Amino acid sequence: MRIQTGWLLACFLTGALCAGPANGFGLTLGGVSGSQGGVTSSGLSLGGDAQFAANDAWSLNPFLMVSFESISGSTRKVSDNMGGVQFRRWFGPVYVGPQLFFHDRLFSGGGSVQSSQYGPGVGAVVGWEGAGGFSVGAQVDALEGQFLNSGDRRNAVRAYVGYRWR
Amino acid sequence: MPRPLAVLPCLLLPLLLQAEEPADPGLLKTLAGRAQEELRGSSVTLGAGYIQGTFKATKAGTPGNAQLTDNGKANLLLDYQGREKALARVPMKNGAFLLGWNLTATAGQFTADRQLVNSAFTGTNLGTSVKGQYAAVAPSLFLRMGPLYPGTEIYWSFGAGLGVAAAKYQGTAQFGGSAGPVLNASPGGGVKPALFETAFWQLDLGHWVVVFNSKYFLIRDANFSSTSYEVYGLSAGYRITF
Repeated sequence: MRIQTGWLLACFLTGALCAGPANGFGLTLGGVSGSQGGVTSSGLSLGGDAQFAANDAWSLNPFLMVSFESISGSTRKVSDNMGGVQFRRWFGPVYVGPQLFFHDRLFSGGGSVQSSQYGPGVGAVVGWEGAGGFSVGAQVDALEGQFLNSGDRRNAVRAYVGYRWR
Repeated sequence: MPRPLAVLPCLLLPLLLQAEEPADPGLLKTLAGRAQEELRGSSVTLGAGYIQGTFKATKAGTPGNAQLTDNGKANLLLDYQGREKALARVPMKNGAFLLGWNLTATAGQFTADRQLVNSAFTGTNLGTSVKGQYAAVAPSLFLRMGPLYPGTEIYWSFGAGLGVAAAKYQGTAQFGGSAGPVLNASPGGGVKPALFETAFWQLDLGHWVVVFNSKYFLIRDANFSSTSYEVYGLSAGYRITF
């Protein structure tokens, strides 16, 4: 309650900066850094989502994300593709919450996709979305492994800017 | 490739969207009435898309496995959805979150004639080929939210189902890579029972739909340790409700 009161006061003082959840399609563009079994990769992250506001405090965001990454010390590439749902808890224009997703990670080299790993993953998301539709955000994608396999799992961080058509 | 997603989100969502105050019986009746209005009758979706199907088999005593794919192809979309039943409805800022179930049915045929040897997706022509047909039915749990914008019919939905299928196939498959033995893919012939899993991720724009769909068949075949066929793809179509 104290936090919500604080945000209401901040919204009153800063006006346009405060948004809260509003429905609409959104796109994000940013960077990603991942690690799996000591092997690291980094690159570009693209995403899209649809935001469905349940009320002023919660929204559900089904999302799709892709990445284009280079593996450190290797000519191989990796693309981590995800589809899932984020459960966002809003405090004024700021949100935080968990996410559940399914990923399909493609390893390529020599002109072809050499292998893939797919399965469920979990994570967390945090961000800010202004009334004008612009946003910044970051998320942790954790425990991405092969379906029903206990091998090495990937953990990654994505940071991005975005825009939502409200 | 992606197997059907777990239905965990479906189970979590109603908990997160609980109304803060207890609803009175009149309100519950109203909500039930709205849920009925939002439910769809039986429908058939016709369209086209791009899919990739892969046949897999392992056999005890035979090295490695056999994986044949079609390398991806354009495909017609033809799916039947039964009348929807509501399990829960939670009002949202626009519209509602609806949890429900229905019966889905599908049928199709496939030709997988490229062996996966050095690539997870792109097969090589080794002269082997498996052709088959399938028919499947499954009760599916789905959730649908929307509309996304007031006054529009833009909805997002997600669902997964588990059911039964019948499959029939014939041809040859090479086991253990390009140097392994070539075996008859269905020495006994005949129709075989299968476990059927399906999942979809769909955007509705009025009667038009854009859907990512995956179907997985775990086929019971006494000639092999395990046999499966999986197909996934992105399609667009028009839904006819009746």
